[in-house]
Amino acid sequence: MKCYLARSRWLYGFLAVFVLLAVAPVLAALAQSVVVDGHLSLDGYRTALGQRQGLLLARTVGVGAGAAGVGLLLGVPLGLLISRTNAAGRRLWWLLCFVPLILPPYVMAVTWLELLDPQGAVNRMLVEVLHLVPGPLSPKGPAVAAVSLGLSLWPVVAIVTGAAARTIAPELEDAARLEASPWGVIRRVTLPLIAPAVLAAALFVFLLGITDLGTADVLYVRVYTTEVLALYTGSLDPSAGAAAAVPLTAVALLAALATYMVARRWEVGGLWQRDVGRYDLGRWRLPAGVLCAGVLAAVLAGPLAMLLSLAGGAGSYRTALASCPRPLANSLLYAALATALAAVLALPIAYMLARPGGRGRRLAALAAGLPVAVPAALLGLGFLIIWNRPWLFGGLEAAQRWPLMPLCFAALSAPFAIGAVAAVLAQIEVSLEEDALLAGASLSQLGRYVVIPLARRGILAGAAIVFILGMREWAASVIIRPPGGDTLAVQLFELLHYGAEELVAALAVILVVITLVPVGLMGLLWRRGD
Amino acid sequence: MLGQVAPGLMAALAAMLPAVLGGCGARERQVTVFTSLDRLYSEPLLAEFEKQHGCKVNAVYDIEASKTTGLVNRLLDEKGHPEADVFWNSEVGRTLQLQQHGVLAPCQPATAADIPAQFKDPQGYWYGFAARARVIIYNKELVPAREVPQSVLDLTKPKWRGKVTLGNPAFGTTATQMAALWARLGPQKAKAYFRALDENGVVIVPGNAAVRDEVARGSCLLGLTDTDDVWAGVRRGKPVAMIYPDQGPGQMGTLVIPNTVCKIAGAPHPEQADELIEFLVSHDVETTLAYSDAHQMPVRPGVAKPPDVPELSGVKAMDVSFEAIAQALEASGAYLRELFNR
Repeated sequence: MKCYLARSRWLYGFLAVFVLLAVAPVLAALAQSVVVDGHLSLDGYRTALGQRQGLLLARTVGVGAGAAGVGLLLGVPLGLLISRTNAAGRRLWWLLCFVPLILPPYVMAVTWLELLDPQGAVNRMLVEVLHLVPGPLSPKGPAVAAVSLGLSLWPVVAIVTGAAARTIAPELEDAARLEASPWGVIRRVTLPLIAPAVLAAALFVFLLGITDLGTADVLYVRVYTTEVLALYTGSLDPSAGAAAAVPLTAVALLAALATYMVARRWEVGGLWQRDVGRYDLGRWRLPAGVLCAGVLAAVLAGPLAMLLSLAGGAGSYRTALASCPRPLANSLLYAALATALAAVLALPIAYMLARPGGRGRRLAALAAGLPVAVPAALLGLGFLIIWNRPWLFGGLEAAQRWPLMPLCFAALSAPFAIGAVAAVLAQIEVSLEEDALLAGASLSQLGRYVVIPLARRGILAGAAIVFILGMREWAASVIIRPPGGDTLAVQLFELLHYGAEELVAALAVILVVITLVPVGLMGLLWRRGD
Repeated sequence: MLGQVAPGLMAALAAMLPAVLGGCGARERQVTVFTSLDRLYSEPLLAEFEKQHGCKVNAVYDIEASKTTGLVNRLLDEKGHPEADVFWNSEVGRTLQLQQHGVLAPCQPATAADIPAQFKDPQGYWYGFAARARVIIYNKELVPAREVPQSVLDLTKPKWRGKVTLGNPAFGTTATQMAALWARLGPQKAKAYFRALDENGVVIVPGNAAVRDEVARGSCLLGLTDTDDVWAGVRRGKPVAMIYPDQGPGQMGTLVIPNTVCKIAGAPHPEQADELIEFLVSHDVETTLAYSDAHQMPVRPGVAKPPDVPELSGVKAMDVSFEAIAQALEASGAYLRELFNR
């Protein structure tokens, strides 16, 4: 079945802009790894790749794998319970699943740093209850980083598990129920059918885990992302920082490729519900709801309570607000502009991915995946190489180079928006477009009156993701920020290392609340689409 | 081909126009400063300057990953086409390196006239103020005061194996201290000392604040850090205390490190740079920093300070010149990077 819009010349133009914005900086930064003082050289690799590469790689992969493991442990059971049973309070638990995604992972790490402090609440409780001296838990180490990241990212697995479970063809489970118990149906039919989707989600969490910088920095864990930042900012020669990113990029690209190949096997695909029915838990309905509540309380309430406790009273918030008007304004401006730009780019590129018949489909898939597979600091470095030329932003006064920030934010997070829109578009029958064309609509009318309205929810979801990621972006910001261009996230990080816990916690709460407002508005728009 | 992609390209670029055109703003009085003094202390002072002088300050603060070194590398990279007007360094060695590379321009702020000669460049390329010292921090609940080593050289004793922590020796004032030891002891003895630290299981953490936090947690018992980090911990009720090492007769003294401020050669806003430097080296700023949680020591006698901030003249300073420290930075840094894989 042909898809005429997929062949539109306009789509290639948008793809070209996205390649210039998001892909070219990555390639430029990787190329920088073999350029020293304008000459080809491997000195950067000699500096960056020292004796402990094996340990660094093992630690990085371990953190990612641990995060994915935690994601599976929490996400699969919760995703199934909430999406496929009548557990009590499931709608509320579903909403709460999104909270960890709004909380930046490094903020979660700060709370675990305090909770697991030798004199912190958890160790004090263990000492008093189990009489263990000294307190057995430590806030240091890759294991804590893995768990902290897992507790931030498990909703990815839960959401995908729930979505996949609700797109199973109901007749498959109905047939199985003739012979097996409900638990047997889940074990032998549901789980195998959703396994590709769940595995893809776990691989995605792994990818996010190994490219995360904030958590490792907060918890003093030396992994590739911290190495890249330290080498780039601490050395006159940027090739060392770029070289340090190459092993990580290789692992991340493998993970991204594995995610793509596994996700392709998810034949049921997409986010929309079918009428698959829910398992009636009977007398276990309330206990199941309590179990969901308990798990969510354990993974959310502890960190949130610690954050609010650290922030203290109104005085801390007043001090925080007085210290951050410019960074806060910068954050909102950059995130809003990045959201607008990403939304404009995401729809046409997602269309190329979701629709057959377009020649640029493979290129679009590759382009959309590449920025996700590299550390954000590397993308920031590439941005400086390409965009900070004298005849571009480099020719402006320092304080006027701030547009680099929203452009970089858009480059970093547009792939997520593309994915969200593509997932929605994949559910829309191509025949709807063909009917419109047969009725005499032009290609632009087809886009404006058919595709965009139908893809509206995906666009909103993508916009929300880009805005959230933009508000909390830190790693690339410290590379490209112009004087006076600091964001709230950058300020928060700098104060974190100076031990200003109350101020950091208050700023973190402000960051989360400010992020929630536009996201909430987008949520309202989402519901109005029903 | 171009005709095929041009319509889409134009539409997408039009979407970017608001971001691009937004870069054009009205001209106003402004100054750009790179600073490696902790943002907690530097930001309020820069805000005060903005208020007093009606001049917008565009500040770039350092990051923990690379501290002063990151900013200095950026200044060196931008030599000839600088973004910054002023560099406010929390230490002195890298300032002298910038001077040696021709990145600085001289200036003569009136408020610097009474700064002692050892804390300013004779030709006006840099000025020092509000000093702090490199001290031994210890956990006072786990280490009795009488058992605290009195010299940095004693940190290699077997008793402290795995219990001493140090900030990344490639960056910040830790790098300055290592360079000072290199200059004071000589390369051979300094290398032996660094190797001994490594063999004694020294714990390397990202920076001075992390050293304080490790010692406060009890994960390590001792560390080398700056006085302002210790004071900040004390103010927050952490169980830490400090000693000024090597104060005894015949010992080398404690390294005292002033803040330094300098003007960048070719600064885009030279007049505003002079104003900011004049403000930063004033008595008021030294008083503010002395009364802050940083408890930094005024370099000039007669500057108001709280009673618990020691007089600089009461601290036996390490007998090594700032120029010697600056010259030792590269060699010591290279050795330490290789030793600790940095």
